[in-house]
Amino acid sequence: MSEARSVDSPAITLDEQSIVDFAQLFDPQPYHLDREAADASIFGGLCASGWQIGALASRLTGEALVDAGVPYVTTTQVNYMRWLRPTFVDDQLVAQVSFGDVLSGSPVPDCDSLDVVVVLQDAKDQAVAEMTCRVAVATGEII
Amino acid sequence: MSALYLRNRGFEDIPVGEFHVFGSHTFSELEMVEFATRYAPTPEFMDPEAARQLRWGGLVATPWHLCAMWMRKMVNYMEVYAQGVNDGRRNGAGVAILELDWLEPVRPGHTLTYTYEIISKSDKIVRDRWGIIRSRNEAFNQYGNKVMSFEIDILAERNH
Repeated sequence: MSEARSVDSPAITLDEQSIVDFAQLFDPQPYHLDREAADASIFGGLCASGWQIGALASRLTGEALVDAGVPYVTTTQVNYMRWLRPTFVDDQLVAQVSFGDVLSGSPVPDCDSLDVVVVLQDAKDQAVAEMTCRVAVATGEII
Repeated sequence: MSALYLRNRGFEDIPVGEFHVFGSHTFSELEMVEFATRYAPTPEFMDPEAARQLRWGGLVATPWHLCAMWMRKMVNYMEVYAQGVNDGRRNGAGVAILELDWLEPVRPGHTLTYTYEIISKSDKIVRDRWGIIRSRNEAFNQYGNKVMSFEIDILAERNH
């Protein structure tokens, strides 16, 4: 039984183009598309779709795990994810990733499973989102 | 008439048990690759040639791509049936996701059909204005197999 480990992902900055590109394809609501409309909205400014945040959280989680020698393949479950605050234009995000032991087996071929707790933080160390998830890691490749 | 009512109703008017089949989408190889390039840049998801030799025996969609398309189909549906997509919105922001499972791979050309059912309404009042509605959301492929399911809590404006 090894101890839980915690690693940070590389940082990523969400620029306006990236937020609007995602929104046009997947979440075309005013507060993700248009600065003026967003200023008057529940969020108070142009901000990223929560689904873009989810996708980025998984990407950063994968990068953090791979950097730590854990061969992340994909995410298979999100047991819980909560959006805590909007992510605005040019906010920088880092995923803090905590994980324990590998569990045998996964729905993904040739993989085992790892339960992971992720806190997505902005540059002011404020939590933007938190999620607990199960990911698939390639069998036999853990360093 | 009923469309107008759906567009204008508030939290109190939305019944538990309401069920909608709200959209379908056929996933193309190109859009799968474009999504993966930004959000899951590994060969299984973004390189159709290399993916043939990898664990799924071909390109598969990024899990979050299926969720992103859920959102798009929901927005399209709400533009017709719910008030607010172009104003302050009565059906507002998402709060949390629970029990999100991706169950089967989705390959180029697969068609997903999305459904949601209102399963509960919280007594909690957020910022004196919003109630919280929980729905169960599922996506089925062209064979009728469930490929994704999750529950989500979403704010809905209260009448009182």
